[in-house]
Amino acid sequence: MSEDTLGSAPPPPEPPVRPPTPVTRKWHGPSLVWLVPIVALAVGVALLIRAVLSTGPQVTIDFHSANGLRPGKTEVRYKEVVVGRVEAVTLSEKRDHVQATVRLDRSVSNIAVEDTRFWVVRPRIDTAGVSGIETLFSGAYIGVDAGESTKQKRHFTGLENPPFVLRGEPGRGFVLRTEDLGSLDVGSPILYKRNRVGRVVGYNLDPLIDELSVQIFIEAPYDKLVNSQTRFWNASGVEVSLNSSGLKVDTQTLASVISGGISFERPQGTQGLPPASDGSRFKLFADRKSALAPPDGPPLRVRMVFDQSVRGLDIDAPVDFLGIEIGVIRAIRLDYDGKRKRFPVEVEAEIYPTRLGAVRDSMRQEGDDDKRRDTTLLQRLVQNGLRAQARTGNLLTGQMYVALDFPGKVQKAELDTSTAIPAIPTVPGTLADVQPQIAEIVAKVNKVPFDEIGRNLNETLAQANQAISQLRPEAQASLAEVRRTLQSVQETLQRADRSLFDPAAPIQRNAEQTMQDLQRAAQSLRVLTDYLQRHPESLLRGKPDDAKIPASPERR
Amino acid sequence: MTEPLSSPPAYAPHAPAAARTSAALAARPDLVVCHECDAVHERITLARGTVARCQRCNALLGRGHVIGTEKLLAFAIASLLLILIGNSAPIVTLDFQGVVSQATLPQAIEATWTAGQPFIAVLTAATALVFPLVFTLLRLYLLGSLVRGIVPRGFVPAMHMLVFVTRWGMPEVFMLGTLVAVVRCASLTSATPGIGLFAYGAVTLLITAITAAGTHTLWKRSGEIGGIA
Repeated sequence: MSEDTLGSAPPPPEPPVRPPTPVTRKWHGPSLVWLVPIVALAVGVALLIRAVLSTGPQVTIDFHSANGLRPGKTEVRYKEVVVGRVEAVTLSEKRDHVQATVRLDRSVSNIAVEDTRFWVVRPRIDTAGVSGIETLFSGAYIGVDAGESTKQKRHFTGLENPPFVLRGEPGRGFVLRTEDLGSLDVGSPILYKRNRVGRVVGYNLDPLIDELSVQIFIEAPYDKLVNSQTRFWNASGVEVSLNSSGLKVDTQTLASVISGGISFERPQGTQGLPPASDGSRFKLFADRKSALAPPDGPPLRVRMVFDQSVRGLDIDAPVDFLGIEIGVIRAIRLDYDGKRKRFPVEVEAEIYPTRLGAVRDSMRQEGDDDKRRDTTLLQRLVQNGLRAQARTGNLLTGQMYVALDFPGKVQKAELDTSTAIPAIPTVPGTLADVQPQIAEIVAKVNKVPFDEIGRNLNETLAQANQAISQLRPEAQASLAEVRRTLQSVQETLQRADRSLFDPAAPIQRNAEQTMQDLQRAAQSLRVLTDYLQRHPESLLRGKPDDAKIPASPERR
Repeated sequence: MTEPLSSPPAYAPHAPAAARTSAALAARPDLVVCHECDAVHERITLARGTVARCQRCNALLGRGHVIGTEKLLAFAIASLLLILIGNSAPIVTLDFQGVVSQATLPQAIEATWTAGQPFIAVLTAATALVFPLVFTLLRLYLLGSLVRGIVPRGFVPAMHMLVFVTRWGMPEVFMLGTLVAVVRCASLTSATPGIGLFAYGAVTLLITAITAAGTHTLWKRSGEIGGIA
């Protein structure tokens, strides 16, 4: 265009020409507008294909109740990833359970195998802690623990509680045998050096042998701490011991005080042993002391017949040998001796010969079996003057124990092996012993020549008078000294009295207050757990308002 | 751009009975009657983009439209497909702290019903679901026949019904309401619009386009084919 305008003269006007008529061509195909429904159709088909491709297998799961299960909403989660959704919840034909129909995603279709477990995750508060708290917001969901089997399955029975050990969780399970469960429960902690390393996953009572098996799970890497010599004990509650070294309060963690727990330890010198295999069985001891005590071996039953009152002697009272506890009293029975018209008391005890240690080994003779050899050992000890004696162990409470001792002057006696349980000969107890001794003293007192003593005394006094008059100044000085010393001793004692034994003394008060506080803390904790159990929602919403008191009906 | 079709003829109707009118109109397909003031005009072919108005009362008589019968049929088919998608795909997905909740339109209506709002539920069902569906189906029925050169059975009552459902079907109001709700919910939860919502958006556009074309095309086409069944 610009080139045309360069010329100086305007171009001569062109003669008017009719513009050429455009070539028209009729579009014979369908109108382009048909693309609109075609696109809509394509979208619809694509959605349909995606829906078909993403749906996996349908499985049914039986639960006891449909609590929290909502069709179309409740999700199925595996490791917190949504892998499916509940499609329908129906009542079973017998109306004893509900059946949830679950549509799994195609990506996890291989999860529907024989050993897969399903359970409903709901908020749960128990002694082992609070779990599933997130479901307070999101509603319950179905948890899955994928199985390893290759056998397909479409119908499952849901667990009522979450499984305590998930498949693939690192660690090892063990079985503890015990006679008393104590306050242990599923979920109670297993502690090692007061550190939670595992949990109780179940227990069952074997009615045949009247014994409980407690299944525990110890998480890796702590499972390596368990070897064949590891000792487990029930670490529930507070252990208070009062002995010559003072008051000792021993507790495990607060959680185990409330809900019970099991502690374990490896005895000295067994740290190097290889870890115990999965599923090993152990004994669960009642406390740490008995757990770590050397093994007792089989007990030997013995009888002892006392001719005196055994008031203060209880079942489980100790039997000691020269101060070493070697057994416990198992039974106390009253007998009647027709010939002597007396009531002898028969006490049965179990003694553990292994606790004699080296004594047993050195004094034992070769024989056929252990029990027999121990009996022979006892026989020899009795021949050497071993007697059983009921002694007062505690002057305040009057508790007694049985001492096996060599009292010295005793008549010769033998171990009575006429019955199945050998009987150890006894000597009268300490109190019964006192009477002949007093009689002896009285006899001796009678022999004292009082007249002669009186005469001698007179003489001595005269001499003493003389001596004292000579000593008076020095004596007075020393006496004053003594008095001063006594005074200061008294002051010291008073001070000690005030600071230690006065009920208002800080030590006493602190101790008392601490115990009270502890008691109060335990009480409020119990109230809290009770309340939370009844109102778990209060964790979120706070305490609900008190119910309104209905207005009293009007009287006419 | 108002273009008079013709001057009102001398024999302007003097309030005859409706039956007689339709019979008369059927007899004279070259005439068109103003639906506001009953003035009779000559039917002319309108150029694209022009609008015909009544000489007497300025009411709209017809529109020279881009969209022909065949295109209207295409739109109606698309509209039906989209209504199907929009009712089977979730409208919106709400995720509140892990509570995932999604619903299709029928589920939402059912939820409104069970939530104790039956009046709202019925209203929603009628205006957002039933009327647009009936509108589309009627259009399909009428257009399908007309394109094939047949005047369908019950053409006149179908046309009357079409006017009724056009007036009462309001998917656009539903769309707006849903959008407002989604935006409001988004501050509380994470709300994701679903495929259903997009499908409904498209349905709204299509129905608006179809409605804008008016019913004159259908009347005209039936007149051209001749003979109202």
